Amino acid sequence: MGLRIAGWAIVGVPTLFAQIGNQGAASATVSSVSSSAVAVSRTVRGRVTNALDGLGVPRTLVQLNNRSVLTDSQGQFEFREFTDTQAYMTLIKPGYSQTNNATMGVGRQRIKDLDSTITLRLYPDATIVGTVTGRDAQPLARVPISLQRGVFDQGSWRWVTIHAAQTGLHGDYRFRERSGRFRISLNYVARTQDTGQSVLPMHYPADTSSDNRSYFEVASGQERRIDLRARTGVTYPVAVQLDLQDEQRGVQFFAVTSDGEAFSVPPTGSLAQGSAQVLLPAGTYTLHARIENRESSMEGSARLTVTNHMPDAVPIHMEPAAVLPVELSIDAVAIAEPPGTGSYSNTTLTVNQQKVDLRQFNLRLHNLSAPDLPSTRDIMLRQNEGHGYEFRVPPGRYRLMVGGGGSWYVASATAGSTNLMSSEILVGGGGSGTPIRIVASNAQGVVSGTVRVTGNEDSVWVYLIPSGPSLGGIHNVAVNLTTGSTSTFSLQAPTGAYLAVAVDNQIEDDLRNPEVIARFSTDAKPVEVSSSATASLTLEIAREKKQ
Amino acid sequence: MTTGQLARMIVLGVLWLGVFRFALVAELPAKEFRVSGTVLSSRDGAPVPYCRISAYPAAASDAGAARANNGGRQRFDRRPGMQGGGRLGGFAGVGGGNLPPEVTSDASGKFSLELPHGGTWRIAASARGFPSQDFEEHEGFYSAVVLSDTAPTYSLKFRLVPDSVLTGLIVDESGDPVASAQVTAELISLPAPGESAGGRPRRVGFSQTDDRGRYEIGGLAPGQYHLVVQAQPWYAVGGRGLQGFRQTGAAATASGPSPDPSLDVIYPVTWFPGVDDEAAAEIIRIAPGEERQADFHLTAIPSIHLRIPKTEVPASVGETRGRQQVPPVMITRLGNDFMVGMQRINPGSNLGSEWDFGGLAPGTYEVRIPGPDGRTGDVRQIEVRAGAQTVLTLNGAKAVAEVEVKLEGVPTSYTLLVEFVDTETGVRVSTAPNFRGRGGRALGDQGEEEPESASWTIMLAPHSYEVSISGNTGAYLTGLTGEGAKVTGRVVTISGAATLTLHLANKHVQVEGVVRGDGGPAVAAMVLLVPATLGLAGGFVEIKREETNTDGTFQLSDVPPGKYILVAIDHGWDVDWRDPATLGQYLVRGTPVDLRTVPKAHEELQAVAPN
Repeated sequence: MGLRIAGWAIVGVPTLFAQIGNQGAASATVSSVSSSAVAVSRTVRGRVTNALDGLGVPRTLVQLNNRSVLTDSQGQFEFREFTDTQAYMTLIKPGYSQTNNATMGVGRQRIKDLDSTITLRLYPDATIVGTVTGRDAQPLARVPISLQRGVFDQGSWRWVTIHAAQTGLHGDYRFRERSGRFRISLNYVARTQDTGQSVLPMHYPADTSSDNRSYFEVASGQERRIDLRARTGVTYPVAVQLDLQDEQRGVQFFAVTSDGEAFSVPPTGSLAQGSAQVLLPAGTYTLHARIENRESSMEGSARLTVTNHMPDAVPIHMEPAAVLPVELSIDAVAIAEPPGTGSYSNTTLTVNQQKVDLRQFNLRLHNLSAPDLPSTRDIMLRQNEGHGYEFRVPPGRYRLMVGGGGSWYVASATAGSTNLMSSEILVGGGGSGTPIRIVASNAQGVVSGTVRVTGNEDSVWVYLIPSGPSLGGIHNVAVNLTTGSTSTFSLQAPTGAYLAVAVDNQIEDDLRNPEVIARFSTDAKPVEVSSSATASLTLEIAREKKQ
Repeated sequence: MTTGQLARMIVLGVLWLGVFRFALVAELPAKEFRVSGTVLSSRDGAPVPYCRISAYPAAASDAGAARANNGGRQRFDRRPGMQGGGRLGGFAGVGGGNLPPEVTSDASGKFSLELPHGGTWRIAASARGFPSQDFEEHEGFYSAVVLSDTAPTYSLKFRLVPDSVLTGLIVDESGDPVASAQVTAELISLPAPGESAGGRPRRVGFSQTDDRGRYEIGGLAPGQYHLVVQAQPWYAVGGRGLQGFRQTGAAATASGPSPDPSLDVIYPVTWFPGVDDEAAAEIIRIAPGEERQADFHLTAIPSIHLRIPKTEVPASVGETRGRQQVPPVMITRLGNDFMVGMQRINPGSNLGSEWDFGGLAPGTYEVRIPGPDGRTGDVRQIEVRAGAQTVLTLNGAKAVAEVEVKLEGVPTSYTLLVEFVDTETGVRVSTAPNFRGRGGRALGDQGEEEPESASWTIMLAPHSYEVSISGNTGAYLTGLTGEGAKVTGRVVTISGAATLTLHLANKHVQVEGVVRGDGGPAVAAMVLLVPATLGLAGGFVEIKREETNTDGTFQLSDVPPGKYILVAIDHGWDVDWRDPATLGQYLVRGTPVDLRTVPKAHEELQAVAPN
């Protein structure tokens, strides 16, 4: 999980397109640029400026296609004898970013007019510094601290760890990153290296909202000082006894404090015959144990109060997770149109020699009731011994999520009579649950049209937001900005009803939330995507109504 | 205690042996074992408040071996981008899930720690500003506290050496900070007489610079250090040096122009105060608790390119054929210890009839060009010097000789590392038997007779090398013979294809004893066991050292048979025993010990005072 998150931190725009393309939901068409067959040799000139004060930025590495140059003391650059017909530029300068967009970085920029002087802007990064002290106001040296960025990707909010570090010898830390919305996290430390005290996990800002979205914002070029006072104390060994029949690998423990703070607690030493030892500070906790390996998935928990004298092992009763089989079928439309032979098992289907496998949808059950721990939050689909697919799920409340599909998408998902596109799943303990039935489709249509622009926009984006319940993502595409008052776009999406919005900056909010959509509703247009005809639209750039 | 309580305790004990034993000892009115005392700062003698003190059982039989391999403090400052840090501090070495007895000293540094049983205990302490260290820790050795029924308690003064810190600022040629530079502190000790390949710098601290170019390496012991920086100019294109090399190959040919020379640059590996040769590096002496600042000003130099004609490189290089991948051209920087970077550079920039490998810094490189079958190939060594031309060809490279290395005398299940240290440049080539060649069987697999010899082939440039072995098996070198190579003691001179035989033994003698000081046992004295053959040609045995425990005892368990002189120096840890003349003054006051035929020896001796 951690690695996956880290991967997202460096996602630039070009990669994002690729991701959308993979979803099969949207594909961008770049309208052709007039390119003469004869190579023209020209000198490309430009200047890199600081977006905040307009001054030139010296020693910026400017990359034009595969050539590179450093700007001079005025921020100016020049490439002689440039003959390529298409031009992409990337700027690299430590401490600066090409955007101040809170969610996404920028990869390379397309340069259309190579004959005028090009002006490129850089935004100075935000700086976050501070000192971490313990309860005794003494600095905490070498404790893990991380910076997370709050991002909206595919229209939903998530935290991405962008920096994992340790405090310095004087408890100091320092992050320098592109401006945005952040939170700082301290991890649980059972015993620090020097004084042996424990550090309880914490977030800054503390989570006050139910949706786990409390953040602080640091603008481009700003420095923010955040000193943290960690909850430190003494830890005591707690012996734990799990009622296991066999030796089990992959046991994880996590503790939840009485005020709902959850943290993982690594067991010390080996785990023999279900007995383990963890270190916890004095206090009352719910200690969860989870076993996740090839053979089994089990979960158990116990309430305990930690004191400095705990002679008895705390028993934890482990219960097997519920098994929810997942079955795949194909939308009738997809099989009939285009006509072809289809063969399928419950998990893999072949339609017109196209293989459709449940795995390609990256299905997962998002745990709505578990404590906020990355390792416990999402349950991934797994293959069972009979080569079918299933979720192994501890008791709780879940939402089905979809993360891929290629040219296929999930047209419907049900469990018994429950529609999983709009409803949550409730799972009790043990045994087999109701199978989840997934209907996949590849029926797609195209929306194309024009956006009226003023010519001052840096970028224009078109969003297609499903009108009804959907497990697919929000589809968006960058509009190809040409000179003139209109620009064209073309988007491919699963069939269905949508709301289309054009904006001059990417929307950084939850587009599944009707209240958010309402802010753009004046300029949004409904559109029906069908596989039989291309839908055509003319959009104005939406002006967001401030609340 | 009621019967019920006892019964429950026994049931629990089955699950939780340690707790049971602990509880039982606590319940019985038998001996109470205890270590108490005061923790003081070694700098000014002031008490260290709120110090964390833990006790670990030190099995007498393996304490010596453990110490010998541990070889001192191994602390790494973990900074962003470094791996590790996942382990809980201070728990390394605790097995079985039980925590060691532990206590925190009071505001005046006083503590009293109850122990579950007698025997030898390693006492460790740490506090804010004081890295974790053992009682009377000296150069990786410590003095164990010995408790018995007749002496169940021990009172001590624990002198803690404060953390020493190296910090500094790294800027580039235009005065801008260099971020993400890797700064390494190497602890230097001079080679001891007869010590092979010893005395080389050992990496003990690491840090990465932040966006302001600052670094901080804490947890250092007082001593002599080299400080070395590795970094890449952030703006460098056209070969990012060996680390983080980017393929610029296809791009470089597409539009013709090669990268702007001002951007085709690297930073040489730079030692404090700004030299690219370790021999010219300044020795930084750090006192206990000292915070030293050492700044660097890095200057980019043109990146050096190696060009290899395409005719010498099989077209299939780097390709996957079936399940086999033809290895790419490998250019490896050879260096001392950690500075070895194995890099795959493939395919290099396409320059028509040649492949171009850029980003080389001054140093010694091994160039490995695979054959078409992916197995055989050509290996050369090439010296890259600063200030020379920036384009090199393999013409200047030395052909590397094929040297067969044979091990004789110990089972091949021994995990050994054979090291060849270039006597001139200090470049170290490490090699181990190719166990995978034996049908992919793991070491120590059962059901197979372990042959008493092993051999494999390595490629060495024609030079003189000092040969040594390392590994935690207790095997030692007793002789070295060569065919096609000149051998003098441990030094072998390679001039072409050769066969080297390393004669090994693993027979050990155990030496234990008691050292008396003035009016009692000599505590924390330095014990030296010096081979009588020291300084003679063909002498392969090295000096062994130990530290006496609180009852004056010591034990050396991995001594090769031979004749020795045993000497114990009270308060002797500052004695420069590595200096032959100084060592000689102590040897005349030592005790001769003949360990040629006995399996075990017990010696009682009087400690000598330092001169």
